[in-house]
Amino acid sequence: MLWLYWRRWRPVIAVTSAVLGALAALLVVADNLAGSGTGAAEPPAATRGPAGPQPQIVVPSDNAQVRRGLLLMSAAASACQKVSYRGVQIVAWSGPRGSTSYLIDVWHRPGRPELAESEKDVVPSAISGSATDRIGAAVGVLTITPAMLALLRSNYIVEYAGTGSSSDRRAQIVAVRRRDGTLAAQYWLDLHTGLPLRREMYDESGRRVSEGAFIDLEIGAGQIGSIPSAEGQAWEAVPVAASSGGRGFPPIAARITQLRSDGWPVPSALAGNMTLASVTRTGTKSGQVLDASYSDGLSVVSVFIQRGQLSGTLPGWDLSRIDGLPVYATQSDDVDEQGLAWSAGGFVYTVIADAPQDSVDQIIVELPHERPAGFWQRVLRGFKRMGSWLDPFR
Amino acid sequence: MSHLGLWLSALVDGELDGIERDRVLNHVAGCDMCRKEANAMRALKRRLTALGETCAETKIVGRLIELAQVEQEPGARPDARAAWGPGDAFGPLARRRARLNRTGVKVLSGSAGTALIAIAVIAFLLGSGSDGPPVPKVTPSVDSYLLQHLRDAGQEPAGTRAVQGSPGRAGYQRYKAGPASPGGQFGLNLAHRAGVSGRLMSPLGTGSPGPTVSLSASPEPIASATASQGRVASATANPTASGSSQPGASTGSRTARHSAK
Repeated sequence: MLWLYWRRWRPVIAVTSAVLGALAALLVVADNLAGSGTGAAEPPAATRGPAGPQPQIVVPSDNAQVRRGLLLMSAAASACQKVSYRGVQIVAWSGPRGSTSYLIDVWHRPGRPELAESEKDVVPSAISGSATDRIGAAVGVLTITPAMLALLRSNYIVEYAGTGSSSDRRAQIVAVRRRDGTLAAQYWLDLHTGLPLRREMYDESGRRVSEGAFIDLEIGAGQIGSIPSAEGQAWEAVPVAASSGGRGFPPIAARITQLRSDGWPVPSALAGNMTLASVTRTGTKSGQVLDASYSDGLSVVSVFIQRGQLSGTLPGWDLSRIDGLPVYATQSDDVDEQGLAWSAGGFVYTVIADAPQDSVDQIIVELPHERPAGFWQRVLRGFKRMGSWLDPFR
Repeated sequence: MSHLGLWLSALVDGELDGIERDRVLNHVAGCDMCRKEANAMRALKRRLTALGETCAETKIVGRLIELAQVEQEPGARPDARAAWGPGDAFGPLARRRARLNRTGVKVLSGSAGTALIAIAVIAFLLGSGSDGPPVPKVTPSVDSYLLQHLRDAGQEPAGTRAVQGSPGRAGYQRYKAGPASPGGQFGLNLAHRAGVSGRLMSPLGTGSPGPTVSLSASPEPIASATASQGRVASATANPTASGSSQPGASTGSRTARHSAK
């Protein structure tokens, strides 16, 4: 007899059909909503506002010291380009995760960049068991380029601080102070040539976090001896589109605009007054890689950006966490040589820095990361995918 | 009581058609009770029809309206139905209709809820991963990046080591230490071969020179030497009055002296 009740169930079935129809409509709506952009990646740092109010500028008590300090630093930048020398530098970094030091050989001829020897560490391969050579980031910290000097002047207060000696050479000391008056770095500049002989960096609490100095220095063209050849080729500088850069238009801003229009998430600045200094690129087997170089005048941070996602297996890399964020670090015992990589929003970020560890951590936290999707975000994403199945034009 | 309930009245009213009508008629044909009830209902219908259009009296209309109002009040339904007297045959029909309606609502709600939960679960499972389209797997080419980073710092990587290029570096080796102590004191204890230079770096940290760390094995035998026998790479500072108050200026004059085995 149950079949007789079919007639009475017809309204129920009709209502159920209406509910299912409403769900289908919800799918389409969710598809449109999710398509409007609910990415898990954090917005690029460049799109955010300033990290906070700028500290009050402390005007030095003696402007003559500032003028003398700036003159000395300008002379040092000039000496780094014009003086021939050869030497050995020692560089040391310390931070919460440990300390490390390394030695580099440097050569310099006028008009050429300082040539630094790249060390090679033998790193065992996790897969094959064979040893592979890994090139160390033997970056000297004493070279002052004009661009770095400009950033130094804009971010810090430079003033003359006295005389001293380093590497058995008489030197003039230049103090680099933050805008709140705390000491950020000190340079020992050679009294005769102006070359930087030594540099020390300090954090906000006054603790020394970095030290670099010549432990062997020969000055003069006749003292250089044989110079090794340069390794590799420099990457191509990202050109500026003709329409985006006019006369007097800041080229770096034009590059950022162009790169962002092409989908590259290049921040214009990073934590710690790190300003975008240059953008270069190169082609690899897995696609184009962009190198965005940032500097505050004292430290250099390179952010390499590549489209894709980190491989599931990364031999030679270890998973670590920085402020709770999963980051892969190269299996190097030297914290200063570590490359830190992660993927977010369809891009792989690799950061290599010659900067205090705290600053590097801040920069890494500030860059985009994949955050775990919440329940509703995940459901919405699922609706989006289901909606895409119903879209006949996809 | 009839077996057919509402279907019998529907049959008498001619509301059934097709298979439903045939089924009900088959049942009526074989069931005396239903047949009698159907006949009674038809007779009643005929009588009512024979009455024609009569103008209902005001009292009767008022009574009907009153009954309808009482029926809508909770708890008064049994009495209201009882007021229909012999016509109580409509009571079971109404209850059945109400029961059917309640069941329908329950089934409807349950079905809709189940469908929503199922779809949400499916969406949740489908929502894993990232939003974007599939992207290639990438392993960063760190070696290439390191060289480029060197160029970013205004330098150029050297490809091959100069044989005669770096006498001062011989005997030095890498130094690694664990996390700094809470006081930020740790020593930088670099070995050097006796007769090369004997230079030592001053310790990092704001305090006095921290605990020193024993040297790891050197690639070559190193002669016993003390820092006092060799030249010491030191940085001294004689700051002016305006620049001497910071800790770095004073620590620059410290020189670590360690024995090297």
